[in-house]
Amino acid sequence: MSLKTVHIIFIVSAAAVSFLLGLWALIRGVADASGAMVGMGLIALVCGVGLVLYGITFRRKIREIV
Amino acid sequence: MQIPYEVTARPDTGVNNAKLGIWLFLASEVMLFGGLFAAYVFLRIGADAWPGMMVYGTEMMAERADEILNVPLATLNTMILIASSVTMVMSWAALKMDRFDRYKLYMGLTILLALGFLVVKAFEYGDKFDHHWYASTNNFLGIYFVLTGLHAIHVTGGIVLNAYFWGPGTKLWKRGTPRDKAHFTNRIEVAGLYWHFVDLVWIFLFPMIYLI
Repeated sequence: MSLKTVHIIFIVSAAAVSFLLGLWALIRGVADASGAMVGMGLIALVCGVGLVLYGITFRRKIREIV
Repeated sequence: MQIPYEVTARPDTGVNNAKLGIWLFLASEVMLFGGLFAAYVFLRIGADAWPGMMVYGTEMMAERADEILNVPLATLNTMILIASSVTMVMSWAALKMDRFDRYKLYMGLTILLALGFLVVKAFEYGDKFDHHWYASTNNFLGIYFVLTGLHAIHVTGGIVLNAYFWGPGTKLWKRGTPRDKAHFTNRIEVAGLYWHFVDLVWIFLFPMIYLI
């Protein structure tokens, strides 16, 4: 298995954790009425979407290089 | 005499020497961390309360891990490690494109990000010690310090390895022959596989210890 494949697996895992963190922080933030925690949750969800988009772009671009 | 299969793949395994070596090493690492993850699961299943009592003889009980651990700091460290995996793969891609200057930049960034991870981790540990929370305090902190400490040792190993390939190790590339360049690129790919393993361990460790 090449670094390319391992990197894609890593990004998928990182995106999954980002979504999990987002949900966790939103639930926690609503329960504790903490705006900071809700904000962290939203940022984590946006980062998760960003990681998915990065993964798709990486997969397309790396084909041209390797 | 040249060592065979340093650059080209062996016909029987389909990989070169370095890649075969790193996968065997990573298999042993999976067993090491796997054993500790299993220990965490069984300790947690068997515990009456988790994380449990923080100071013996007092009423101080923690019902959730985030009451003890600093989730925002751990999130920052997660982002640092994700960024470092991106710069690591970029450094390898730069060599594939014969862009040595870009390689130096991305590998340098990878090392700096890894150092940043250790600095944040030191702050996190410092906070625990200020509260007199040690690995001996309870099972939760025991497994927390063992898992994150072992992971930090692996990060340190990665910094040493990457610093070598950023500095003295580049002599191989600078010889300039296509074979030496391909050999160096293989070394960076193997270093990248190790670095991704270290990052992946954190990706599992972070939600398991801090969130769930």
